[in-house]
Amino acid sequence: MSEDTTILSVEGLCVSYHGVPALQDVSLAIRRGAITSIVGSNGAGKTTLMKAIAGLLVPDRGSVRFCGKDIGGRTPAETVRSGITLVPEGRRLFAQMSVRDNLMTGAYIRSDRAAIEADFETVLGYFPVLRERLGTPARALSGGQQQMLAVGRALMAAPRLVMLDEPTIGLAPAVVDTIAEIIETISRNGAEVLLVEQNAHMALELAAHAYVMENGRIVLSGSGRELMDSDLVRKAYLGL
Amino acid sequence: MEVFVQLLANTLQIGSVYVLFALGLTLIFGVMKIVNFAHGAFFTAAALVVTSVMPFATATLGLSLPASYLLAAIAAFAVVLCIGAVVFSFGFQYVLKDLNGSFILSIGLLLVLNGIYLAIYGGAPRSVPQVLPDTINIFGARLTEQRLALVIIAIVVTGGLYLLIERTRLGLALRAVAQDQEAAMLQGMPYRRVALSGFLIGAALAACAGVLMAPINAVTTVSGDEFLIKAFIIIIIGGLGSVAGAIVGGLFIGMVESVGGYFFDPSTATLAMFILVIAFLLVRPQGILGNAD
Ligand SMILES: Nc1ncnc2c1ncn2[C@@H]1O[C@H](COP(=O)(O)OP(=O)(O)OP(=O)(O)O)[C@@H](O)[C@H]1O
Ligand SMILES: [Mg+2]
Repeated sequence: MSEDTTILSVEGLCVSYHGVPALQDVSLAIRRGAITSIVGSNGAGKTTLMKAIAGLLVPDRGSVRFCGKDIGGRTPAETVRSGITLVPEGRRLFAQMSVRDNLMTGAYIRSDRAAIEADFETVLGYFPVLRERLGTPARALSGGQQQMLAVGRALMAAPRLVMLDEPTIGLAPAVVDTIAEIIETISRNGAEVLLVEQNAHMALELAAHAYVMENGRIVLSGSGRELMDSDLVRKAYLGL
Repeated sequence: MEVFVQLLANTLQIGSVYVLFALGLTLIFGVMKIVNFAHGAFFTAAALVVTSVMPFATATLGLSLPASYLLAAIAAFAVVLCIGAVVFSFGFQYVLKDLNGSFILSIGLLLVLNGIYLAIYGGAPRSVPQVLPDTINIFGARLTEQRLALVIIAIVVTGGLYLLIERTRLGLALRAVAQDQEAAMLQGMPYRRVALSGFLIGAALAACAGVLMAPINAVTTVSGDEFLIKAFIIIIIGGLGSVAGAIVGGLFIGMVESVGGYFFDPSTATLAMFILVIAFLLVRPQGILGNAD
């Protein structure tokens, strides 16, 4: 795990809500060129971890380093500018805005018009259904389309690291496959991916490296394959 | 026909100022999730500044009426934006999305500002001459050019605000923050700065209403507070946080006031407004164009 292969490293992170600990001494590393997954059941602390990395929560202790720089204490806006975007739990689209405007909010930090236009086309290439609905308010989209829009919005920031918080929850299997394919495409096209899922099967299948969280701690880590074969994961998350 | 045109003209003239005022209030609510009870104080400050700068500019500087009005308008906007920036920095930025805190802060601020205005200007009504006192005839209805200009300016300002909100990067951020503040921050939008921009635009709209009204009605240190009450009625009818609702509601209340005032008397018109508010609160509390959620 040398510095040059690690793009994001979290060391000893502790986060609490009103004094109640939600993350305890969490450490993990995201390596270049591969998908990293975190699986864990309800309330394990997965969302808390992503919010802390995104700058929405201030950790009690621990550090977050991105591309070798300490990014602890940055505001969400500064974190986005340094290249990290989050596709939040529940999508959190701007419900009354059109699909086009939702995508443009993702590009808020950028001013390179030509490149924004190119990324806009790339995103619509990933999700052709959105092209037909550019003028539709986000609230009128189906659940699957909304998730696609949420992913597309995050990509419009031209991020170096995309964090996805349960992007497939509640979606039809066909849509889950679409999202999974896009996640692999994002990774292939050079951005790093941190994927959080309760759907352990998909998350571990995609991941080169994965972590299991329970009660605010990392309890297991290894390659996706290793975790899929481990007793803990088979029993608790894959129902085998 | 004459009566109809006259009432239409009155509706537009009264309503367009209400629209400007209510737009500011609704914009501030949308972006900061607070109700600014001191919003009328921005209106009053602007109108009072006009009443002191205009006579000074004509008498001492020897400027023409239009030039002194323009100078007074610039001074009014400068003063209101300064007040806005100060009260945001020392007060409102600490009560963002805090209904109770902002209620206490803005009521307190209203009392303080009204006290300051009274200390500086005293209680007597102040007036300035109209820049365009001539009257024109449209289909037999009479309208001063001053009032016609007011309507045109209000329409242009409202249109400009619409373009700002719908077509610019700042507008995108204002809309995003209004709909989901955390999600907006996740797109890299600096919440506090966007809130300040929204607050200052709202204050400027109130100032615009004050500048436009100063030559038309006598100005007192509480002129804006009457507008605040009307603006609340407008926002209940149109829907809190809705730009289109503020426009529709403002024109509607302008109509109730001019039609009611013509056929009955002003107090009947006011009574009608309150009955409308009660009806809306009972039947459609989110307003005509507000969102139920
Ligand atoms: N805003 C909050 N205030 C107080 N406690 C919270 C808050 N958000 C989360 N928690 C608590 O922190 C712990 C971790 O929650 P978190 O949302 O990070 O879990 P999660 O792994 O994302 O769960 P899920 O799979 O349900 O999304 C839980 O015990 C939860 O109750
Ligand atoms: Mg979660």
